[in-house]
Amino acid sequence: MNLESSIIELRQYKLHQGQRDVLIELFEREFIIGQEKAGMHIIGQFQDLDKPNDFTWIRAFPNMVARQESLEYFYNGAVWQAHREAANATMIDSDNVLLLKPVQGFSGQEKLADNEKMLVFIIPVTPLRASELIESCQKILEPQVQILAMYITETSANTFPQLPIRDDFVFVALHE
Amino acid sequence: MSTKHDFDFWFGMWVTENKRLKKRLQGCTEWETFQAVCTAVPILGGMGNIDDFIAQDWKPDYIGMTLRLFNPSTKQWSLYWASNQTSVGTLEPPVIGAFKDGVGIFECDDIQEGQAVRVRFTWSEITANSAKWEQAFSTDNGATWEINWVMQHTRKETL
Repeated sequence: MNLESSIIELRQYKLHQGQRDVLIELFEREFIIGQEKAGMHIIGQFQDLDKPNDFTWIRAFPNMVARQESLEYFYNGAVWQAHREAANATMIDSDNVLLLKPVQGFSGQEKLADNEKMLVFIIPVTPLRASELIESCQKILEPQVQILAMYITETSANTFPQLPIRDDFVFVALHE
Repeated sequence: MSTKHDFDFWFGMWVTENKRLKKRLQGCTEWETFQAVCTAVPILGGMGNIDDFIAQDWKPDYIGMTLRLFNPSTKQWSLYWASNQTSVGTLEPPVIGAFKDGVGIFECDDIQEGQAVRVRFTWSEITANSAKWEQAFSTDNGATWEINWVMQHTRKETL
């Protein structure tokens, strides 16, 4: 798994009771290859250890133009049209989505092995204070844990409005 | 000709780009734009449907809904609008009509700010994943129309 890309979506879903394994099976069978073929990169999919109905996944794009093209290609394409109803039926809420970009100048250990545990750390921040916060977090976290990636909100307009994204500004750190 | 399946395309979740005329029937040309989310489900074993309309950016607490009922003897639909902020506690008088060649036109007489108007809803450009809705008012019995609200619906994706 490689966490290095220019535009990142961190997607946190609430699913119906008992449906996480159903979605993961469908996801791993159809949606990873379907999205990769559309030019997206699936960084990873995660099961929340504390919340049995929470499913989180991360995908990446080279840039915002490529994002729009890939999403239009995928969502109009045969894979999604064939399986969208089955996927939708597992979900309560799919709107908790952060559009992010990597923190400049941070060279993390951008690899994660399969079945690895990961912590996601999301802090709201004002855009002007972001660099201060990033510096503090890096100072506090780095001696203690392996930081895998650090992101901040990408503020470009959402050019694929069929998929809503959150409008708050956050800093995100992924660490082991 | 209309059938009870006319609105089957509408079942599901939609992201809606709204363009709404700021003032009605005053020659206004200023539009406000905002996004909404609509969710539609069938009712009464397919003889009707219901949806909600939530536009957080426009009016945070506003919820609108439409109830649509198909009358198999007249082969016409009645569309009833209601909301939690205007005409609370009642369904507004229905616009009534049918689909022809893929375009649905639904009308009624109403009073808007003390003025008698003919109200028209138009559903058009319907595909599996998109549709357009317009509202227009006429004060000359349908000779001329002022469009005051346009919704461009795109099926919401989830993954």
